[in-house]
Amino acid sequence: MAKTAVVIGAGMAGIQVTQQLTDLGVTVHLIEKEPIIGGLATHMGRVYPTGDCALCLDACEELFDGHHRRCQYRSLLTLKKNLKLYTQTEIKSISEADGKFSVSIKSHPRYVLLDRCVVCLECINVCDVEIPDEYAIRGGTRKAIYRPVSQGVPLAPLIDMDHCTQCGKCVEVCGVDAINLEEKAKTRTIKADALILATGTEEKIPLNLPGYSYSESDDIITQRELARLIDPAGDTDGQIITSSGNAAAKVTMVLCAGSRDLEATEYCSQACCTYSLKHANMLRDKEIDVTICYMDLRVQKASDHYLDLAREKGVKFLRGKPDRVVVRNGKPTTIVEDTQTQQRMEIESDLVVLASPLSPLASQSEVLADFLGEYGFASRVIKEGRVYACGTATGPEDIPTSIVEANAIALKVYADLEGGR
Amino acid sequence: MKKLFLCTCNRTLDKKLDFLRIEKELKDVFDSVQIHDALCLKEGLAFLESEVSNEDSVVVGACTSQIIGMPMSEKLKTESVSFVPLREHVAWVHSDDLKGASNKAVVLLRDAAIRVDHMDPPTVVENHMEKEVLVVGGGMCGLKVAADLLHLGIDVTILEPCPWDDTAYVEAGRFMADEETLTKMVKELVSATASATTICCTITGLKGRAGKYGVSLACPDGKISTIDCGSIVIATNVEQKPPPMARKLLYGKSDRTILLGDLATLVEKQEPKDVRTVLVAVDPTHHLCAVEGGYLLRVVTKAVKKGNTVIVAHSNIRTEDENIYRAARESGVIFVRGTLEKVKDTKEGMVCRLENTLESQIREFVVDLLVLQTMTRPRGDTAELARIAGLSLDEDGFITTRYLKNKPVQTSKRGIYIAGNGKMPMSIDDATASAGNAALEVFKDIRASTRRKGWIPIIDEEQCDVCEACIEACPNDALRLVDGKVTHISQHCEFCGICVSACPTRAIEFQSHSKESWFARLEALAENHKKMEGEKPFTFVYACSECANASIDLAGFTGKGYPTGTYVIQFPCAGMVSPIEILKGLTVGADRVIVAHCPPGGCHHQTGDHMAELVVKFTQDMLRSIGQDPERVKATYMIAALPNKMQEEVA
Ligand SMILES: Cc1cc2nc3c(=O)[nH]c(=O)nc-3n(C[C@H](O)[C@H](O)[C@H](O)COP(=O)(O)OP(=O)(O)OC[C@H]3O[C@@H](n4cnc5c(N)ncnc54)[C@H](O)[C@@H]3O)c2cc1C
Ligand code: SF4
Ligand code: SF4
Ligand code: SF4
Ligand code: SF4
Ligand code: SF4
Repeated sequence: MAKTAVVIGAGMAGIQVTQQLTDLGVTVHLIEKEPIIGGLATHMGRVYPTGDCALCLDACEELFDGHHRRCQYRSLLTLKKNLKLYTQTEIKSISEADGKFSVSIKSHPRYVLLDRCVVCLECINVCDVEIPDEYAIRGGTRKAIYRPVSQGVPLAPLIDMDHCTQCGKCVEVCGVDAINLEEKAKTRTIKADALILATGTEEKIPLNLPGYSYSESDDIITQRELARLIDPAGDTDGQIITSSGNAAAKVTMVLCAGSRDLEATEYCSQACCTYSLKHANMLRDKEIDVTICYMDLRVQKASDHYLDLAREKGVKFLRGKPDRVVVRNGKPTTIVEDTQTQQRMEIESDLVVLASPLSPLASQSEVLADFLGEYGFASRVIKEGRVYACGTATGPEDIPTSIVEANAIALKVYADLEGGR
Repeated sequence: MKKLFLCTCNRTLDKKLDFLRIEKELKDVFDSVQIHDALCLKEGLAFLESEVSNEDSVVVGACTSQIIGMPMSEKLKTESVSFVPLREHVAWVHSDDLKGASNKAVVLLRDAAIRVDHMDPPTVVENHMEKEVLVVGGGMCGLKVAADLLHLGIDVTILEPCPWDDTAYVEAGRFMADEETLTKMVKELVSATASATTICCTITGLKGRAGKYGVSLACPDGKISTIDCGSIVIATNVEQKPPPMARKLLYGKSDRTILLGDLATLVEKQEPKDVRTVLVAVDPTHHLCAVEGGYLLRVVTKAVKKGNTVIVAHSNIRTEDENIYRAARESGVIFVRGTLEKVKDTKEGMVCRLENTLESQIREFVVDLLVLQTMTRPRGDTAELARIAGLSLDEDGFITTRYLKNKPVQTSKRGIYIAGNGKMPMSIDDATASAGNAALEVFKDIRASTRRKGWIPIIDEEQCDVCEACIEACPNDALRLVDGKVTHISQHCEFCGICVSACPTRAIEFQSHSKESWFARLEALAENHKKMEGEKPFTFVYACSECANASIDLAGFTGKGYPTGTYVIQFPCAGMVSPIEILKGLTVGADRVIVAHCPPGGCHHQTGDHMAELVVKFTQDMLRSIGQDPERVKATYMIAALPNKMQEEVA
């Protein structure tokens, strides 16, 4: 009988391990708490080391001969035969008996039926409710019925019931009966032979980080927020604007903002140096002045050219970790000692961008707590032959590394489940 | 019969497009025109299934083929189908121009009607992979690949340059992890690979194709042999090389300048009384990678723990584990920033002059030993191996993979994979994961003999001058010279058509994309445009069916509109576009021809982006030489993450 695995988290790693396992004939239940798959990468736009899209999946064997890669929106992932995707779904409990796991899940309603919706977007057009868009930085809005990002999969929109007025306009225009405002949450129990954590990370919101005034100014933002500003499909159409609506001319980046610090996050998040460089280069292309304050430049091996390019494009580097970022005359000002010149500097800029650490999402779930180790990350093999982890759930890393780990874990899970010779 | 199916997409497209007029306009080219409200839903698919017979040719005007193409093709009994993305490429981007959008729809649907006339049935390519696997290089990573495959019941031959024992494995992997981890791992791997065949020879040649490679070997006893294998995994090792500044720092001249590995050995054997003062210098021109940083930190921490005084002069410390950096500092390693500019070998010791580049602060240290951080570089014979296998190398001599983002072990050749350090220096975790990736790919190849379907290039022997341009251009080693003839190795072919644009005599035609079909289509496109739009200028966008098409689809999804009079014409790969199609586009009257390809280095077929740029440049030169405006032709990349690209290009 075909073996079954539950993969928790549909970020780049979770999708990859799922595609590989289903190609190998294992049935996979892929569980994602958000309404769309992709995880952190849904925020990213373009990524190092290739400079193209973040939401780009390895093409699976079953549908595309494993030919090459496919954008998430055309990956047809949901058409895979032995793949069951559950979005907006939380894990309620996990128990183990007779060599099998019982995973209880609760799926919250989308109110839009995936097998009926043709993605015509008419419902979105007619909805009158406008509320702040989670992916927007400068006041962009979305409707109560919405698609979070353009590449989002499943492609069908969803309804945010907290804001829906139940006016019924969307139901009226949906001639294919795809909307059911009465849809209820569903609970299910899945039996599985193996469990894979691909719960990933989020960029820590530096609200409580002392000294950096993140909560005091909308011009002190994180790298994720900068990624949203840069995205041409974002609410600023790719323009780098300040909270007062002006084009930013001068940007200061603070690396290791709360990382490598025994008082805050102890570890190094590995990817932030490189994506900060990526962003710095993109800002230089828009002729914005960029200064990077750093301790060490930990560029990923395959992306050394981003550093060379940054120097070429005139990104300014300042070695020193800022003591403080304060708001002065309405502008964020970075106070930093340049450790090379031993000079204390005060840099006034239009935007300060903090490279905030990547922190594990699994530690936010009580059910998963037992599987985690140091800092809330998991080891690749949590329990031999039974429970595994891959991607940034095992520690901060970039997409290529997550993919490699996911592939390796797929082989391991398969070999363990199907037995050797 | 030729049938047109239009979809209103839940009665939305018919608000942006005048379906009645479209239907009327197309009555003469199609035997039937049917309009449905949701072709992609169950009922729509069932409708298509019942309406279409295997003798029909079909045009579907609905949403993008990237989404509905595959599920619909499964239901359609005919393979003669053409999709027109009326939603993403017309309705959603021309939403305030009902007339123009409808005109464009008519032009595109007429084009599709011609396209199906020229459509060949796709060719079926079957590939059977022999089960034997050759693992080249039996370091830790090679052993891991072999262990994984043996565990899955696959026979493996490990090729090593010379016989290795456990200590040699540990020695070679020393930069990847601490001694204890390595020793344990080597022991496990050696026992797990006991049933592999191990031979000590070097590769001298490679023949055959994926699934059936023949590898010639030269063995130490002078014998020459060959082995047959389905796939090859390259898992070659690295060496620690002195950095560029080594000579200047008296490496080879003074025995007090040594390499990091020498320090590790010294510390290993050090008696408690022999304590030294050591300066470890990192070459600022060498981008220290995380594994190298980790190795450095482990060695210096150990040295300090044995009572030595250690100063590390560096500009950046990279490591995957902040805690070992922390431990090094806590143990008393002194880290100073700066470049070692000069060293003098004196009676008192090595006098090291350190410069802090920005401030020109100078500091001097007198030490017993000067230790150079080494560069991890591929083993000396990697370049030769790559040459034989036809693989390319990066600037440091590592073997390059097919695509950095998500093809970590695939090389430019089918059936040949690269695992571990031959690709870049890796920590033990990364190396074992990489080995797992290679084993997985090999296993998948073997597990299911593949059966692929697609259009392939057809070579007209009469026209072929055997100039070998196509052989040179094919990125997938799918064209070879056999008995004086250009021969197609279909098992390697990726159906891209890059060979077509490389051929100077057009002796190669790609199925369904012949020159005749392009001429007929482009002429009709222009004629129909003029019929509908009069003198209004128009642009052809020749877009690859991967990233470029995705970008144009996403322009629709994000509502990044552009003017009508822009006709997107899909090519399997932008590398297929030859000057013929571009010039024809201009001669039929297009104002501009834009060739849109994948991002630089990101072509799904490896070189199409580059080829497209070359072809466009060549065409521009041609135009210039006959006094025409070269700016009418352009090559550019488009990706889904830049849905505004189309808008920018055609505005
Ligand atoms: C600003 C920024 C820029 C970046 N730029 C780059 C770049 O240029 N190049 C690059 O390679 N990398 C970049 N990265 C890193 C990259 O985003 C990550 O390496 C990658 O997305 C990680 O993928 P993942 O699958 O491991 O985790 P995630 O993407 O975090 O996915 C985890 C998924 O699991 C879900 N999940 C979590 N917990 C649960 C639960 N309990 N139940 C159900 N589902 C759950 C989450 O909702 C999420 O969808 C960047 C990161 C940031 C923050
Ligand atoms: S395949 Fe799609 S997602 Fe991937 S790089 Fe190309 S356009 Fe972007
Ligand atoms: S729910 Fe209905 S109206 Fe909304 S996009 Fe889907 S099919 Fe269209
Ligand atoms: S029912 Fe809700 S989602 Fe639908 S249109 Fe009304 S407010 Fe919007
Ligand atoms: S990757 Fe760079 S910015 Fe991020 S924590 Fe590490 S050193 Fe700091
Ligand atoms: S260039 Fe492309 S189509 Fe031509 S033989 Fe090579 S792989 Fe096949």
